[in-house]
Amino acid sequence: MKTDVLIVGGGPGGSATAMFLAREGIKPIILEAERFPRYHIGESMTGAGGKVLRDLNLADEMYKRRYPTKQGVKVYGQSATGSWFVPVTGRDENWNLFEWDTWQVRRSDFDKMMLDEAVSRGATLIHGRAVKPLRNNGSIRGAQIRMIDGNSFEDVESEVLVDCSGQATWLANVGGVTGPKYLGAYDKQIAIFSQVVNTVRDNGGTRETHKDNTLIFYQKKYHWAWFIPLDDEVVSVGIVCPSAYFLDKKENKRDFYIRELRELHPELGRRIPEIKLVEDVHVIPNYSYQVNGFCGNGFICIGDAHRFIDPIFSFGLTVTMREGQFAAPLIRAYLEGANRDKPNPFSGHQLFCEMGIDVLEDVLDSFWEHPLSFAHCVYSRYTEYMTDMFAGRIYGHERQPTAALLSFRKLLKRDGERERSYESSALYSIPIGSRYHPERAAIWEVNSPVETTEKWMGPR
Amino acid sequence: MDGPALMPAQWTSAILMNEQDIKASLKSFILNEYLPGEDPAALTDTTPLMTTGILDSIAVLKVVNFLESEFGITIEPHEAVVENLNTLSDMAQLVSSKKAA
Repeated sequence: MKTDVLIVGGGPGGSATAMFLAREGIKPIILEAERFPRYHIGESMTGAGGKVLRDLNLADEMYKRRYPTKQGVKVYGQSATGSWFVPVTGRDENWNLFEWDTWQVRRSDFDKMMLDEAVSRGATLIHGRAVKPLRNNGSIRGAQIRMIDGNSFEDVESEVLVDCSGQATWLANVGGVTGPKYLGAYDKQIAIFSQVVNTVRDNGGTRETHKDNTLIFYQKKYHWAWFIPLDDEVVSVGIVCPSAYFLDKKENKRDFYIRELRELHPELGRRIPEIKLVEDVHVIPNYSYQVNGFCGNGFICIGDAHRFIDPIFSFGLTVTMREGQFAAPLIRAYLEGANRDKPNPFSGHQLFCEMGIDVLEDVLDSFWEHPLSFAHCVYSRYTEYMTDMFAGRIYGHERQPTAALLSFRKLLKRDGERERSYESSALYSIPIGSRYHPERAAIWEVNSPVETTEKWMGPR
Repeated sequence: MDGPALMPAQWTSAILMNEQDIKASLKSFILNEYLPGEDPAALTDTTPLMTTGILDSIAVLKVVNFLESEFGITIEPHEAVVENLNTLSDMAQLVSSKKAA
């Protein structure tokens, strides 16, 4: 079988990439091993994520399906009475700020909608699993796949393979295609999550008190909870903490989760007066990583397939869909003959994406390392720039780095270093999170991550 | 120019006076807003406000806003750190150094 573009993974990253390719006149094959609908985590979008759906003309469908409309993020910090709020905003063509909303999504439903839409716009869905890449003189020329129905094997030859396999990081794990996969700065963390009902939601008349906002709670460093409404009844709630703390408690995941709902923060406890779960308790440990060299001859990795930092401000969906949007016109140009002679035809795209996610990494690190300065920026000093970063406007053409980001880099003592590292791939070769935490400079063990979650948990 | 190499005494005292004024104005703001009914003598120039939790982070941010509006300065994010904001003296020093700059 032959195709211009083979997309490995039919989540929102794969579907968005397929739809943006369809706009360029390219009809890709999407390979997906699971039957949709299926459960998945990552349920909130930032403003720029909502814009991707608007760009794809899916806004009407999103409103029709009554996904909660997120107006912003409210953070409850160390004091039970204090909190700060960052509204969702957009920027018009003159870069004037305007109030916007975006969506919270139940992924079983949203991912199916996206995949169905990609197919209706011209993509071909194959129900199969990628087994190994097809290689030719150092370039990737497609993948061998195993069909889910019938277990037969088939080679799918492609000009460009787009890895949208998410945290499975398929290409990074097959060996010898991408650069090494490094542990990320938040790799010692664990996320434990489920869905609850009977919660106390806000219901005020302002954006800050809208019932559908994301709420974040923390009292101690690296120990926090998310509260993301999925409809008028059900709320996704997750606990994130150092893995050592979780192991120390010697509780099973359900008992741990329920106790944390009561104890993590008084405001979280107040909002969940009687605990009733309507979903299994799921666990993802050691979720933080970064893959170097994630674009190359014949391949591009999108979203979680090359990097995941931390879930706290819900950048995952936004970043993966945007990277698909950015990649589509470059893939078209490549198919038409551009950059054919280069060892890495997508090196510009690779650096562009990396610089964007670096902005997020610096924002997240500042949040934990310098909470007071961070809140000062939100509260008064750089309110507009902070809404840019919270919306996911993190790329070079979006006026990054902003004064707020430069200030954070100064606080983190990495001002100048980021910029220098972009000029030299040798400097950039070890991720900054690892350089600042030498114990984390370890390379991820091949094939170790998400699939082994339950094994890692052990029998409890 | 044949002026003195050291800062003239009246300038030094002006700055010192200034810091005293800043501390006095800050002290009355903090007492009124966060410690109503507290004995003013209990809040000294060196009472740690942040590291002891007397002020939570939101309260400190309101104090920062007060400093900015009251003294016409802009406090940068990298200046909004414990070392600059823990005591009345720390804050007064921050303000006078910003005003001098």
